[in-house]
Amino acid sequence: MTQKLDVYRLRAEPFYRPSGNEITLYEHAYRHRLPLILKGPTGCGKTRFIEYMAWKLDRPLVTLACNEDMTSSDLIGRYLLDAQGTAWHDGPLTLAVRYGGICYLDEVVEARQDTTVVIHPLTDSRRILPLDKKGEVIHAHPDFQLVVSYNPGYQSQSKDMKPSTRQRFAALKFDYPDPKLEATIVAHEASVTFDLAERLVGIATRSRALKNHGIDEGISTRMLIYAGVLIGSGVDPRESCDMTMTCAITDDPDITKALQGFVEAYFV
Amino acid sequence: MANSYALSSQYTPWPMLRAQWKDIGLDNLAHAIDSQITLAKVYNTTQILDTIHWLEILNEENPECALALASRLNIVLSRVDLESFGRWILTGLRMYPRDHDRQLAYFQLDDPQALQALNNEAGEGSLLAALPSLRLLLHGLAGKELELQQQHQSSLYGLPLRPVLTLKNLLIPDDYTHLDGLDRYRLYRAAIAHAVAHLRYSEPSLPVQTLKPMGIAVISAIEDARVERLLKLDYPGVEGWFLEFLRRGVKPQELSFAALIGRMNLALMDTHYQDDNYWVDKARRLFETKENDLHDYGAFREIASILANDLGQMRVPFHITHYTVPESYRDDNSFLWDFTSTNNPLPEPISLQIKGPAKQEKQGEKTTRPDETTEKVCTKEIALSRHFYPEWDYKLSLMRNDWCTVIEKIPSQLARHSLNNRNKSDVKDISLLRIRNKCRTRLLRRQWEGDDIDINVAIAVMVDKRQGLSPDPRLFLRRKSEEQVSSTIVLLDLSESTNDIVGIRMESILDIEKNAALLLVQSLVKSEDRIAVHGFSSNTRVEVNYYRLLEFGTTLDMNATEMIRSVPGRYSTRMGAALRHATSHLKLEKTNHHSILLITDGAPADVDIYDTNYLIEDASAAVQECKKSGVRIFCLVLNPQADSYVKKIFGQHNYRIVDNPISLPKQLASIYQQLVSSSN
Repeated sequence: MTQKLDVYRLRAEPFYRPSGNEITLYEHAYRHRLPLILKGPTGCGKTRFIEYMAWKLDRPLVTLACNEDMTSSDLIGRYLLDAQGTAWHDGPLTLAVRYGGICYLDEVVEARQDTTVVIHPLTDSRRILPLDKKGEVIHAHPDFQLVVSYNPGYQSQSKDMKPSTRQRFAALKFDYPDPKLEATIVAHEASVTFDLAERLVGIATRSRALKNHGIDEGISTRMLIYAGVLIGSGVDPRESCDMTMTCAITDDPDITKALQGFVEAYFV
Repeated sequence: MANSYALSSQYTPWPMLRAQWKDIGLDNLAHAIDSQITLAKVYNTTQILDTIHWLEILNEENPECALALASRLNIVLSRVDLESFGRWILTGLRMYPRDHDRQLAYFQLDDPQALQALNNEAGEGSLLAALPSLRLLLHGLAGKELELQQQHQSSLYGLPLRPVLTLKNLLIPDDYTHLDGLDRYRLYRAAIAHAVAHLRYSEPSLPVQTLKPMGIAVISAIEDARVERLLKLDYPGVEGWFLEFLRRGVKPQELSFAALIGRMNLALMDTHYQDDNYWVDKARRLFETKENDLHDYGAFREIASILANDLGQMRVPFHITHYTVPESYRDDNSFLWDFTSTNNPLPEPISLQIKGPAKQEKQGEKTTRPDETTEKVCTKEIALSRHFYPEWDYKLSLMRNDWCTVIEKIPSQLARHSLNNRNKSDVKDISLLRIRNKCRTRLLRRQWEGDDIDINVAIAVMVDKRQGLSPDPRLFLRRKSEEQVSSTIVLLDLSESTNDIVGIRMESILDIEKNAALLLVQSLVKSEDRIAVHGFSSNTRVEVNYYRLLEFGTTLDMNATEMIRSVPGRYSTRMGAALRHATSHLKLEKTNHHSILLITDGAPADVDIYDTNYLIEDASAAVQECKKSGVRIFCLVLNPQADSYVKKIFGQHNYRIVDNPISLPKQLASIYQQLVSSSN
């Protein structure tokens, strides 16, 4: 039956460079199947980390991007019609619970709070998933683990997790890696020189100092990789940075001008 | 708040000045100004007074030029704003120093250079307009917060100003003319980069000891070059920022001290620059020998001492009163030196920059509108009710019950009357902000018709049909705006500090706050959401004044607008009591969501509290109480250095620092929209 999750297995090792002891901590958490929150700014590597861990632990990774229109049926499954009548189809969460995968709910706070309460029985000692419509209670597969991510930087008060949900999770805090490591990551992912990657990271570091001064988040590692990719394919560095970073992150003319100043400080 | 525009402070009103001028024989000048101003009818009081101030200064130096300019005032002012007007005058005087005839031709607009300068000034943005983005640039490059301020040149014949750097401030001159650089933003940017270089790599306030002024100037120039080289290693792009102005200022044939320093400065940065002067070449050679030890300050100081000694041997004259750092973007180097520790009496100026004969505006000095100096706001207000609130004493961990008295008042009729006249013209200037449709939509299920089919219901329908049951045909999904409405109080800080004048339009913070609130209210006329505008100030714990300027559910008519316009800024900011009182009003609202949008310009403070943390802690406690009551609070703070306390009071995601006060209306609307659209 586990072949049902084969499609969710990662075929190749995702590139990931740890910036602390997050790998060890995750392994410990997985050993005890503790539900986990990965929290950190956008584009800092949360999703890449969970992909890497799923590959390292050789577990299928069932990912679901949450949004506010999502219903609990989208998580656990629903009856669908076929020629013979109605047939139950497991949702992604149920699949992971039933067959033993890591279920990753990306940006979990985007889902409505009444939707996410279905995970409560899964995230305590019961480890069960009741399927009310089907009249079935699934006891989670021993390999099952629930991991959610969210970005505390720009979430408003109303888009926060309920305390009753939140307290069921252990948390790993992510941030942008230190500059050298971030440059290594950018250089690898965008296939550019380390020197160029260092300059891009420098721009990002400057922008992150402006948090709460007009921008909610600084330039992310992902944006740097985009910039690096464009530069690597021959686009002028300043135009690449404008396209992937300056124009992408803000519409405010003053902030744009300041960010362009950072770019011009690094690229002649 | 810092960005005071010094020009408009403390002038004699024009009618009084005109009378004085007539008494001292300046009838012609007064008449010329009157005729120009009367003709135009487009200038407001502030503009007229600032213009006259410039003419008055010019008249003291050169009456003929002042008269010539006064007669052509409308032509000049139709092309440039007031800041540029001042710079244009300075350009003429600096272009033709001590040449009376050419200066006169310039101010008569007979000199083609005058028109060229006018066009150049008109084409460039002002420092005040550029300050918001420059602040962010400085913050980012320096990696820490520094206050960036305008430094005003009030002397026509003083030496050009240079930036002044301290550990907490950078002052940028407002007297850069097009002679310094055609694109002034690039000049400001270079000044910021140079300041950052000092902040990163220079040891500040070194004792002068027995150094002579010439030695100080040479050591400072070498230090400038050293730190710029180091900064170039961090930010390779800044080399171009510096070179543009190093090349612009260089005078290759001149042998004066300033010219030699300028040539050396360029030689130390530009590898392609060729200079045949032995001393400049020696400076470059010595500097290059230490190129790999740029962090060794001592080595470069030795080089500077050798070079200063050489200049002494060469008998190059050095006059400290005539010397200014040659490159306009470089600071005056007062950052590097501590002149107080010297045993020797120093030459007059403490910094290397000569301030010029005219008086300098005191930094950080509050400025007020000239017309406000004669206008006293009537303080006889009508107290409507008194309310008692607790206050949190963090040292004793004690909530002091009934500690603060909040007095609800309405602004006095006299103040409303007088201010009404002054601000009448502003009302029509308000353009409606467009609050976009709120994305507070909800997916409605079980609808007769809609955009999508609800898959779960559709299946249920099919199952019922197969079972021969009568299905519920309402299987559509429809998005609909949520019917829930919110109530928001825009709470204005009305403390004395909000009277400070800021920005290019020379408005007080208070006026900007009021305009922003009015714009927001006007933009919500057709909305079901309820909004109120309240304000507060405090004069000790027994008098926390609270004004309900616009009540929930009332329309923004002339009376309400007048009420908002008229409320004065005075006293202090006892934030906690005001927040508790605002919350008590929100509790009476029957709507689903309650919010307070606080606009303030500084930390909580009051005259009876000496511990700066006390009212911050109390405000923080008040915010927590409000949250428990279901009231969401967001703070917009008009103080770039507010990070330290606003986060503590309001929490990480519940504040925004508004670096550019002009953008407050836009930011207020944006935050309001975020607040109400995320309410569901």
